Amino acid sequence: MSGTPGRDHLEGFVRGDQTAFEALFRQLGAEVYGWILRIVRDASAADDVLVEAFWRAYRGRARFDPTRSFGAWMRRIATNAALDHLKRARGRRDHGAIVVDLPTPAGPDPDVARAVAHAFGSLPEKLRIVATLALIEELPHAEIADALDLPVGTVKSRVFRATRRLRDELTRMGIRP
Amino acid sequence: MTDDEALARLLRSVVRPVPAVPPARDLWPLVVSRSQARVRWSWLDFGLVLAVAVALVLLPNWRWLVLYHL
Repeated sequence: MSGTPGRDHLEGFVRGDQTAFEALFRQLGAEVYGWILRIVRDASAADDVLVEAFWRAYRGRARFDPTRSFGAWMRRIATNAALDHLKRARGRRDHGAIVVDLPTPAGPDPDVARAVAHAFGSLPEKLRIVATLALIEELPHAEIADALDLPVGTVKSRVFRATRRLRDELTRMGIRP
Repeated sequence: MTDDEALARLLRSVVRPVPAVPPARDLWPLVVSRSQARVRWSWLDFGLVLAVAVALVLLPNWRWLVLYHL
């Protein structure tokens, strides 16, 4: 996160000062929103998750250490809120439906696109989130590890497993990427 | 290009990266109303309270166990 909130705001936030909380929201809200959007991939859902994440942060403000990075702490809370949202949404709609409102570049053959979307949607949740951030959003493994509160080695392992499962699934469908 | 890079590129052509955009509206009022909303008790909460109360009436010696967990 690029924003660095002042110590006064952080200490005020921990004390429950609403003005300090608003200052933090104004400073970091857009960045946190962008992060959430990368995970949930739906603007309307990202609105709800952002509100939920900042509410969770406010509720858990006593646990925040003002000497640490508020941005990193907030991103972890936002990640958990986004993952909770995805768990609730799972079963109601498939991942392919989530991305239809995003900009559409020239894509591959429709059958191949459908197969890829199916293979990606069938990944287990913990592999799909890492694949989303590493393979699609091309974020550094260290950044993903920090946000998901995982060791970097675990992120690398999950990226490897996600790639292998995607390839196996596509091969099974007769597609060789 | 390695096989993994080709697969990632194919994946990105189908499931596209999300552009960095800010929220379309000011969400601060929603955060405020959420953080000021009163906590609602669920039926599970009422059930637990009732169960503890009944247990304390029927088994008063359990009060130390209950107090320990509070």
